[in-house]
Amino acid sequence: MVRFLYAWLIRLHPRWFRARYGEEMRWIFKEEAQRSGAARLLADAAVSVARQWAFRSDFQPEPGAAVAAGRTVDGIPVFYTAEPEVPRPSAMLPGAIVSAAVFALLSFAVAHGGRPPRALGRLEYYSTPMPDNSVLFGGAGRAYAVAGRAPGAAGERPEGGLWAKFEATVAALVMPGKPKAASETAAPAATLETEPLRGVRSAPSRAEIASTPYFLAAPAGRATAAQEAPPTRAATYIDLLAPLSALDSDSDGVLSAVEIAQAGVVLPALDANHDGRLSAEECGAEGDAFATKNVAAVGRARRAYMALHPALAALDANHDGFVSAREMRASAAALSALDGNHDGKLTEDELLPAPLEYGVWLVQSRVDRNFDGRISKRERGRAEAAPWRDLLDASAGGGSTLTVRELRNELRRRADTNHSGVVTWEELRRVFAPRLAATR
Amino acid sequence: MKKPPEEFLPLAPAALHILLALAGGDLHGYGIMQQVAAHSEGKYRLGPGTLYDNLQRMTAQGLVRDGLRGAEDEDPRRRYYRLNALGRAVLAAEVARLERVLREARVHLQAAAPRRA
Repeated sequence: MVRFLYAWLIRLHPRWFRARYGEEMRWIFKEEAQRSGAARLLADAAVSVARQWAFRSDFQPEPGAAVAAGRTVDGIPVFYTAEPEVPRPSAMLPGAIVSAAVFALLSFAVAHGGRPPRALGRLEYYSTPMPDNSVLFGGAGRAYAVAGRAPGAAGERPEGGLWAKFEATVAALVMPGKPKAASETAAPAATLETEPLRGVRSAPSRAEIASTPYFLAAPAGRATAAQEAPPTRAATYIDLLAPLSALDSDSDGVLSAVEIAQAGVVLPALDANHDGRLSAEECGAEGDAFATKNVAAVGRARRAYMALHPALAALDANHDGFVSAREMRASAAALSALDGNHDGKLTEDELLPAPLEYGVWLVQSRVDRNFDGRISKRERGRAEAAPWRDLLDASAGGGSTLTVRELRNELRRRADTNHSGVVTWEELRRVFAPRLAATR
Repeated sequence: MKKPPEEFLPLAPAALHILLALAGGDLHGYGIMQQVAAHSEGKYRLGPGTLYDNLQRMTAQGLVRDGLRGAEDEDPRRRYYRLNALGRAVLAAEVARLERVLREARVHLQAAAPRRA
């Protein structure tokens, strides 16, 4: 055993040392181990390993001496190796195992590492070329886009220096808090023709949501010709959902094919906490259901919020309540799938949720504190439930706890005045308008 | 151009003992270890790692020549080492240096010895 250990220590020496003295050291160990003790010789070999690697590298022979002796051929590159011997065939298996393990570790790190630290120099903004040779930028965490016409003719990339100045200037526009370097301040602004497209609003406050539900806005197509025309229902709805608001760059309440195509670039800019994904709150959700410390309740509320809105449900492909980095990359295709009439754009009828489901959400998100789908008598007694108390009590039918299904049935019964079986926005408006007015 | 012997001084104890052992004739590694132990009456024992590290360095410096084979009936792993002329000169210079040190030490020790009344 000690002889094996000593042989192993000899193998740890640099090649040039063990090739010259290894055999002699083994022989001396065999002769001397009995007489003066193996421990002293093992300790001496261990110290020798460290000494040779740390202080004796100047005894290493010049690499490639054999190659220089005449094996080179003109014009053919020569590769030097630290070990001149051909590896043993048996060394291939452990080599393959180590290589596979390193590859698997790197792949896992790339797939699950999330956002790298900023110290690694990750770009602070995202850009994508537009058909007219302008570039759309989204600043990470800043969440607004800027379009700038790149200097140079269409279809050809400008010179590196000018292009770098262009990018630096637009980056400064996207990130106004970032200190400018001297080279950036000297950028030729006259050649940039930058223009702000539209700021993505921060998530609306709870008061704003309560005071301007989108179904109270004027129906699409009924806008007056007055200068201050009220926003359409679709435009109001889009304003409440950050992903749609970011995409609707011309604020017309319609997502065009070009706007949809930018989704993969624009959506990552909404990731305010830089965790590599969009939560329901980052998509615009607000309310007590998202502020509770009950993690399970917040998870249920997030999943319900994402499922309620067709666009968010399309983006959140795995229905976990988040739009992951992978889902953001596939977002343009996911949104295009909502285009039921294949006209290349998403309009009100394709974007807005079912009115009845939105009405149920509106009540549940304010009353069902733990979002378990059951509204207890205690929850009905809270101040937030006051505008809907008669609706809730009628849904409960005298019982102490009512389910969301009972709430939905009662709301349908009250709203569907023409008994068509479908609750329209106008019908929902008649039920909710006085109650929402009371909460202002 | 060879360096003068004085530039190798002072020698480390292991190097001094190895050169002293080789001064008596060619020896293989194990023989050097035994000779060193005998010179120091068993108080200084070289390990193989220390021995060959010093031999490697002294061979590169031209103090020792290695690679000599023993008699045909000897174990082929036994490779003999021989003191070169430069090595012998360095050993002589080191011994002279040690004599001076010894002389100085004696003078100082006698001067510092307590006087009897």
